[in-house]
Amino acid sequence: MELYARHGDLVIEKLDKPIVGELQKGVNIVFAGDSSGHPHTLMGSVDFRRDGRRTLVRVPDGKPMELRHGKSTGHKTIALAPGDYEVRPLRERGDGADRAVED
Amino acid sequence: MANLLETLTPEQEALLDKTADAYIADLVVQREPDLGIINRWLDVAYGLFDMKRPARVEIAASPEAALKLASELTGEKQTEMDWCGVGDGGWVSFYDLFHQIGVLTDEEAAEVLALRDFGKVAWDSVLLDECAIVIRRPVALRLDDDGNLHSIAGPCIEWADGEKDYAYHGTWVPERIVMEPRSFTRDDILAITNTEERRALGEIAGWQWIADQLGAAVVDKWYDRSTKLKYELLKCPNGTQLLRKQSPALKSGKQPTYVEPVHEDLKTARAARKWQATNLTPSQCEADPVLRYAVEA
Repeated sequence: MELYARHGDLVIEKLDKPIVGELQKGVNIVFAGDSSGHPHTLMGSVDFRRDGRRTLVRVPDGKPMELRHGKSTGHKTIALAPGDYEVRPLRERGDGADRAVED
Repeated sequence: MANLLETLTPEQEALLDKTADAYIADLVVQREPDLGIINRWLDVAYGLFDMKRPARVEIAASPEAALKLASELTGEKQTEMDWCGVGDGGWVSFYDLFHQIGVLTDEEAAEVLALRDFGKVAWDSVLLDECAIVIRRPVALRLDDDGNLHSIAGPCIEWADGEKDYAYHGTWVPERIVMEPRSFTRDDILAITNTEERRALGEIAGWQWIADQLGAAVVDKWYDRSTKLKYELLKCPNGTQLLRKQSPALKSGKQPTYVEPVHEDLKTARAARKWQATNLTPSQCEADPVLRYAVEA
């Protein structure tokens, strides 16, 4: 199996098929990092939908978009090429069930 | 209208780091509230909402004190400050620089420089219609070498009323992690759900101490030759399993270790890594543990 990227506790999977269903517009949308105050931010304007733990994102045609980490000394910035993605947190185990890794 | 500069002179280039350094260095400086400077910013802030600065301006000793007073004055529990003050240094420093190099005129930069000056004599505010509550700068503030809030010897921020805050390399953590790291029992450690807090505890108390406390033993190791990252699967006597893993190099060059609980049916560190990233079952991950990322950061 090959996945597009890991950015700290986030997994970024590029989808083979276009996202189905409605998407909303968003600018500089953020993923995770709520408790630490260090979100991962996709810089720019995208179409997206939150779906439980995962976020479906369409990076528009044009230049790749940067995914930045909120901590100045944190994870290096990575680029997302145009296309459709699923962004989700890594999972861990707790109390006998799966849960998202929190940071 | 701002003056566009196509290129920077070497002197202007040098000002970039110098300005950033000055803002970071200023964080730890103690200063008393200066009402002249504070009122100048309050005039700007209230003016943005077509309002006049209220006659009542209160100086609070800490964010806690400010929120308590705001709750009393409004009759509703207040939980948020305005996030307007020292914390704005990141973007204010850019405009300060633009002003220094002539991109912004004095007039264009006046309001943002009022905010800059406010941040030098106050921490933040809770601005109400009838009262402006301004929070004093802390009496002590400690940073790591990268400029992140940090202290493993005590609070990273101490307020004038005795309130304290704790952080580990820029991540807020509970007081106990810093002050009594080795007071954590096995159950306390396993109850931590935040991986950054777990990392802080592991680094302060020592990862080996954590493993000993959990009674955890390494049951499998995997070394990813392509990324040069190490993974270890640990098992506790109660069946709980943990994946200890090395982070890819951060912007600082550091590679911290993280430990995260994983499914109790996993048998190998490599499969545990794949289990974390997918929705596959432990047996599916064991049958085919290969997982490559085009980029890991």
